[in-house]
Amino acid sequence: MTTPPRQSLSHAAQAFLVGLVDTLGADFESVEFLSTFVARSVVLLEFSFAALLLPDSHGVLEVAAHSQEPARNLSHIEIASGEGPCIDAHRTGLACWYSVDPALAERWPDLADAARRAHITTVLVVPMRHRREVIGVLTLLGDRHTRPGADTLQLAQSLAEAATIGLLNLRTLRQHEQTATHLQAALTSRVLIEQAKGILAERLGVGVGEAFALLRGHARAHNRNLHTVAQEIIDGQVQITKH
Amino acid sequence: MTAPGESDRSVRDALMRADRECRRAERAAEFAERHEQQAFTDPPRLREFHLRLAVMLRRVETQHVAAAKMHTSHAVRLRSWIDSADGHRSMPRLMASVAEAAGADGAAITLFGPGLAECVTAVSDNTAKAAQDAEFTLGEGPARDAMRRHCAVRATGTGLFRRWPNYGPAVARLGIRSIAAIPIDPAGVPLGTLTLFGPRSPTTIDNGLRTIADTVATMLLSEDATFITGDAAPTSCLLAEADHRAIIHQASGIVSVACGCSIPDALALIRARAFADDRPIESVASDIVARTVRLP
Repeated sequence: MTTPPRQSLSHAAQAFLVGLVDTLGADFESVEFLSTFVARSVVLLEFSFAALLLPDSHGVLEVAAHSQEPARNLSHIEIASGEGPCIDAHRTGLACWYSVDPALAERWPDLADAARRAHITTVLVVPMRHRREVIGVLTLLGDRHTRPGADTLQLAQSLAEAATIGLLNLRTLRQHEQTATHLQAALTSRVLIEQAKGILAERLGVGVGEAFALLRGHARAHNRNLHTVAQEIIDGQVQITKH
Repeated sequence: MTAPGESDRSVRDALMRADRECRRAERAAEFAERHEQQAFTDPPRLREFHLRLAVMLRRVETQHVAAAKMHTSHAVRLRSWIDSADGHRSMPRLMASVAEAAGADGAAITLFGPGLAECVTAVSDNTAKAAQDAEFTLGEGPARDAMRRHCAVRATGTGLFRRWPNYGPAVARLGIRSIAAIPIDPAGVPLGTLTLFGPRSPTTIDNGLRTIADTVATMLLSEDATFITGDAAPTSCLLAEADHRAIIHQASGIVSVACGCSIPDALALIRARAFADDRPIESVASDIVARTVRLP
């Protein structure tokens, strides 16, 4: 069943899949992650081009990564017209294979025209699914004339699944990073405000409660952030008086 | 003093958090199981992929299970505290359940600001609080070491003395025989340290302890952690019971003006006074703020 070239790919495929799973905690940018993923998918699945489409905040698909111009061009035509194989897969959550002639041409002639110009004869779309949600679509464009084997389909689906997990991990990681940074900033700001309260209290000979009221009053009157005013008091750049 | 309605609400909150963590754990387990099965049903070349995924998902499951246990145990403690109606005992802290989950006598979280300035501490009990105060007063100890070196720190018996000539004897007097400290760095952002007092296995930092530290890190960043700059209170379940050492930072400000020195130097003066008088740093700071003590 397995032809020699595929056999040699299987190790690479395995290593790559495992690598995708291990992205959690890795120092990865999502753009880099997606580009690598698309490029490797083309090689592993023996297609010519590939693109990865992810929905924006309004749920409209956009090209997140692509390998070479034809993949991007075809995706843009599909997105602009609002219909095509990726949009279908995004809605139904089902993987689908089309030959450009006649299957694709019958439903989306403009798309088929663009495909022919790029010598594309076959289109495979694989949804990236997470629970009941489809979070994106992987589209593969090739120049063969036969339906991809069960083997290829399965590998394509595993790749899409691994990319889904990698992407979700990356998103969680970014979100945690952001929250942790905010937390750190909030904690630092709190320390600065307490120190500034002490400085003001000592300078003006008042209690820390009154010092805080003066600090807040100054920030409000000058429409400034409490944290910034506190920092300026510590640096001796601003003088606040009792009245 | 906590009003009865408020106590009931904290029990409900704890149970709700436990329930949410349980559901997350179940979901992760469900996915893990699916991949474990697929490891055998899919072609062999996909086996390792499925197994790796399963391992990752099991790790996620373990973390949620640990969090669920902490919240459940906290709810139980709160319930029995309310029912016992013993006004002398203080309200149980979530950190006590963190210590229990880690198999330690006590636990503390320290979060640091820039320049290793300690800005938050949460503790399981009074001994842990005294140990935290000793570290803050002396400026040496496991939390800063773990934070500075980005790695777990542990010491036991005489090792405590060798490692920390001042802090070691101070905590030994509190009855602490061993210590483990693990960095808390969610998503690679170093926030602080989880310190365990009297951990069950003081010589090793095993996966169990790392899971606890990761769980604590996630808890600090949980979605109910809305942290607002300024005078608004933090609401993350762990930060809610934390001490912001506000009085010490206020005292540093006062001393820096009185002595015409920088804030770090002012803090060093307060530390030195607390050490010389053998008093908790917080109590010295409180006297400075009340103007009953003046430095230098």
